[in-house]
Amino acid sequence: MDVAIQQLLVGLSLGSIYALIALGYSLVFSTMRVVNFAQGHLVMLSSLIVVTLWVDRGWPVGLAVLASTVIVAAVALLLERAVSLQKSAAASPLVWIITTLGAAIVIENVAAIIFGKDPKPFPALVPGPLVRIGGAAVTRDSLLAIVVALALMGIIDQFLKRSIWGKAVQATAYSPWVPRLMGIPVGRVVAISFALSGAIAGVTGALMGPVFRDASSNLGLQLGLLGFIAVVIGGMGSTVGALVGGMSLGVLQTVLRGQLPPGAGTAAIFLALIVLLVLRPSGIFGRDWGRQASGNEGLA
Amino acid sequence: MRTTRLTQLMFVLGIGAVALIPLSGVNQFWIFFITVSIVQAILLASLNVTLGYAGLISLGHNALYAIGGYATAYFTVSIGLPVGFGILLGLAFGVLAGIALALTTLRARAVYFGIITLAFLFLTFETVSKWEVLGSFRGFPNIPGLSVGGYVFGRNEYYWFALGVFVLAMGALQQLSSSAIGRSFVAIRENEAAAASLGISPFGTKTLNLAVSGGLAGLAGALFAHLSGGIFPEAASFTNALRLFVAIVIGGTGTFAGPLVGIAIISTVDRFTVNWTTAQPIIFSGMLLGSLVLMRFGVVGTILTSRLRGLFLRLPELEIPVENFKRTKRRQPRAKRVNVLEVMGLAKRFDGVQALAGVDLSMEEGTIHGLIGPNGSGKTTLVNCLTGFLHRDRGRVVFQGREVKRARPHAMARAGMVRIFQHPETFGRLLVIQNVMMGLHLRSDRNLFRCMLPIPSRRRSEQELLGDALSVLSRVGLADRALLPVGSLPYGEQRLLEVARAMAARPQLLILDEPATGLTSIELVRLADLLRELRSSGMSILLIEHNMEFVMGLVDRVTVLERGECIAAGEPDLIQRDPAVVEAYLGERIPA
Repeated sequence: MDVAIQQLLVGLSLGSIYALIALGYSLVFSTMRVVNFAQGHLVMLSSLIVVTLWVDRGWPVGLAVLASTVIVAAVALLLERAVSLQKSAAASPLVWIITTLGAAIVIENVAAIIFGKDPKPFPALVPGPLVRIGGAAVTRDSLLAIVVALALMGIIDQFLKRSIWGKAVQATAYSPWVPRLMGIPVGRVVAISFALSGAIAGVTGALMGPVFRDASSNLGLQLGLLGFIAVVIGGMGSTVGALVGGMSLGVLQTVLRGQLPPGAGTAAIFLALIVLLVLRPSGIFGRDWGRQASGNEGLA
Repeated sequence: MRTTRLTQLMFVLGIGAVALIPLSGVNQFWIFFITVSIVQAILLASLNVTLGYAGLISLGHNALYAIGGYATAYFTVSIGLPVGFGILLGLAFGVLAGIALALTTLRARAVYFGIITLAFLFLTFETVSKWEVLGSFRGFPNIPGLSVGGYVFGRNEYYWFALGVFVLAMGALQQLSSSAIGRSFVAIRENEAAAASLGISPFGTKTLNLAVSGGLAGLAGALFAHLSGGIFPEAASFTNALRLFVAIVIGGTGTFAGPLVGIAIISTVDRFTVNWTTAQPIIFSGMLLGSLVLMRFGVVGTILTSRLRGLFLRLPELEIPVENFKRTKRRQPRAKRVNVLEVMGLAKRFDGVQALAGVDLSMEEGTIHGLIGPNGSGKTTLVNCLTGFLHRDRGRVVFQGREVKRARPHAMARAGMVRIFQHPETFGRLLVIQNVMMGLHLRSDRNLFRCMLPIPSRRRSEQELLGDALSVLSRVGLADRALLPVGSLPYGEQRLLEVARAMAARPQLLILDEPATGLTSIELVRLADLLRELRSSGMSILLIEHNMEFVMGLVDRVTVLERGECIAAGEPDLIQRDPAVVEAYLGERIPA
C-alpha cells in the first residue's frame, strides 16, 4: 500500500510535467493545426536557462524562472513567425513538420553549444526534508510540481473559457476562416497561443529540473515525445484531456519502471504509443482531429 | 509526365562516368565514399516513394534501413549464411517491416502517421541498442564482405555491384511511377476520398507503397552493412533521420532526380564538415530551413517550376482521337429488365438527427433514375451510405443481384458503383488528363512485378488507356483542357471533369451528386446528351439534382425524399403533378 502511494505521488509529479507539455501542444494545435515538435525542446531550453542563471550566476530563483519564461516565450514567438510564413505559402503538412522539427534540432544544438553537452545537476527548488503522506515520502519539489501544474492548468482553462482572447482562441480552433469574418485577428490569436505555450514551457522547465534532477540539452526529444503520448491519451485540444493524459502517463511510467527490466521501459513507452495510436487514432478522449488535420488546412 | 531525352541522357552519362571512376586510380577512400553515397541514394529513393509519391510523412525511414542492415548482419554473422543471401534477407525484412508499419498506421492520418513512424524509429533504436542478440550497444562490428562462389568482391567490385543494384532499383521505380500503381500512390496523396471512389483502396495502396519502399530501404541497409563491415544502433538514430529529410527537402520530393541531387549535396556537406561534428546538425537544420524559405520544392522542384522546365520535362504530345470514339457496345435490350439497385428500409442517424428513416428505392438497369428532394432531405447521405463513405444503421442494399453487407468505398467501385461528389473532389495538383487516368485504375495492369519491368505489352495498354482517357475527355468537351492543371479549370468544367473521370471507370451504376451545379446552359445540354448516350450504352445512372428542368427532361423515374423519407416514386410527369411532392418540394400551389 505504501509502495502504491509512493508510486502514485512520484507518478503524479512526473505526470504534471507531461501534462504541461501536452497543454502546450494542445494550445498551438487548436489554433494552428500544427504539432510543434519543438515543444519538448522549449522545456529543455528553459530548464538550462533557469539552472544557469540561478545556480551559476546566483540570480534569485524567482527572477531566473521569470527571465527564462520570457526568453522561451520569445523563442516560441519566433518559431510562430517561421511556421506561419511557411504555412501561408505551402499546403503540405510536411513543410510545417519539417519547420518545427528543424527548429527543434537547432534549439538542441545551440543549447549544447551555449550550455555545454554535459548534464547540469539541478538542485531542489524548495529544499527541506521529505514530506510524509501516509506511508510515502516525497520531495517538496514533487508536490510543488503537482500544485503548480494544477494551478496553471486551472488558470489557462478559465482563461480559455472566460476571457475574450480565450474565446477568440476557441473560435479559431473551430475554424480559421469564420473568426476572420467576425473581425477576430486570427494571426494575433495564433501568435498569442504560441507565446502562451512557450511561457508554459518556460515554467515547466523550472518544475522539471528537480523532478529529473538534471538539465541537459539532449532531453528535448524525449520530453516532446512523452508529452505527445500524453496528448494521444488525453486527446488534442482539451485542458482536462492534457491533465488526465499527462498524469496517467506519469503514473503508468513509474509503475512500469518498477516492473520491467532496466532499459526496456523506454521501448515499452514507444510501443505503447504505437498501440494507442492504432487503437484510438484521435486519443482516448479526443475528437477526430486527424481527419480534420488531413483535410482542409486553409489557415493562412 | 515524362522526362525528356536530355534527362535520360544525363542519367546515362552520369552513371557511365560514375562507373568509370574506379578505373581512374583514385584512392580507396573516395571509392568507399562514393559507394556509401550510392547506397544512401537507394535509401533516399525509398523515402521518396513514400513521402514524395504517396505523401505519407515518414519521419523514421532509416528504421527500415537499420532493420535491413541488422537482418543481414544477424544472418551472416550469427547464423553463417552466405552474404548474397543475407542481402536478400535484408530486403525481405525491409518489406516485412514496411508492411508492419502500414498495418499500425491503418487509421492514422497526416501528422499521426508521422508520429507513429517517429515512434517506430525510437522503438527500433531502443531494441537494437538494448537487445543482446543484436549485439546491444556494440552492434555487429565484423560483418563479412560480399563473395560469390569463392570470388571475393574487393572495394572496386563492390562499388560496381552497388551501382548496378542502384541502376536496377531506379529503373524499376521509374517504370513503377508511370504505371497504374505509381498513379495510385499519387492518387491517395492528392485525395483519398476521390481515389477510393474510383476503386483505389487507400489502405491497400499504403501497404503496397510501404512494402516497396521498405524493401528498398532494407536493401540499402544490407548493402551498407557489407560495405562498411559493421552495423550499429546509430543507423536508427534520429540524427540520421534528419539527414534524410534534409537531403529529400533540398533535392525535391516527388521527382525522379530529387533524391539524387539531395544525396549529392548532403554527401558533399558531410565530407567537408567531417571534423566539425558538433556543428553538423546545426548546418543541416539551417540548410533545411533555408531551403524551405528559398526553394520550396527543392533544387529539382525549383528547376521544374522555372523557365528551364522545358529542358527537363516534356508534356506528352496528345493526339485527340476525335474521329474514333471508342463507344462501349450497346447491350441488347433484354426482354425483361432487371433491377440494378434495390434499397430497402435504409436508415441512418447522426447524433439526434434521423437523416434517413427507412428509404426504399429500386432502380432498373439501363435507366436514369432521378433522386430529388429539398435541401437536407438526405439525398447525399443516401449516396454516402450506398457507396460506403458512411455506414448505414439499418436496411438492405442489393446491387446487381448481390446483397451488399458492409460497403466500403473502393470495394463498391470495384463492384461497379462509381460516384461523383457533391463538391468537386479532384486530384488537385495534377493535370486534367492525369485526373481522368485515375478513373482508369481498375482497367489498368496493377501487377506489382509487371509494373516494375519495362514490358512492351503493358506500355501499349497504357497508351491505349491514355487514348481512352482522351476520348472520354472529348466527350465532355474538355479535350483541349487535357494538359492544364485541374485547379485552373472553372467550377463547371471541374464538375464535367469529374463526370468524365467516373465514366472512364465504366461503372454499371454511375451516381452523380448534383453534376449540373455551375454548368453553363451549353454545358448542360452537352451533359444531358452525354447521359442519354451512356444510358443507351447500357449504363444505369442515379442522378441527384436540383435543376428540375434538367432532371425531368432526362430521367425515366424519380424518387422524392423529404426528411429522410421517400414520399413519392414514379414517372417524372406523374411526380410533377403529385400533390404531396408539389407541397413538400415546390411549396403550396397557388390556386389559379
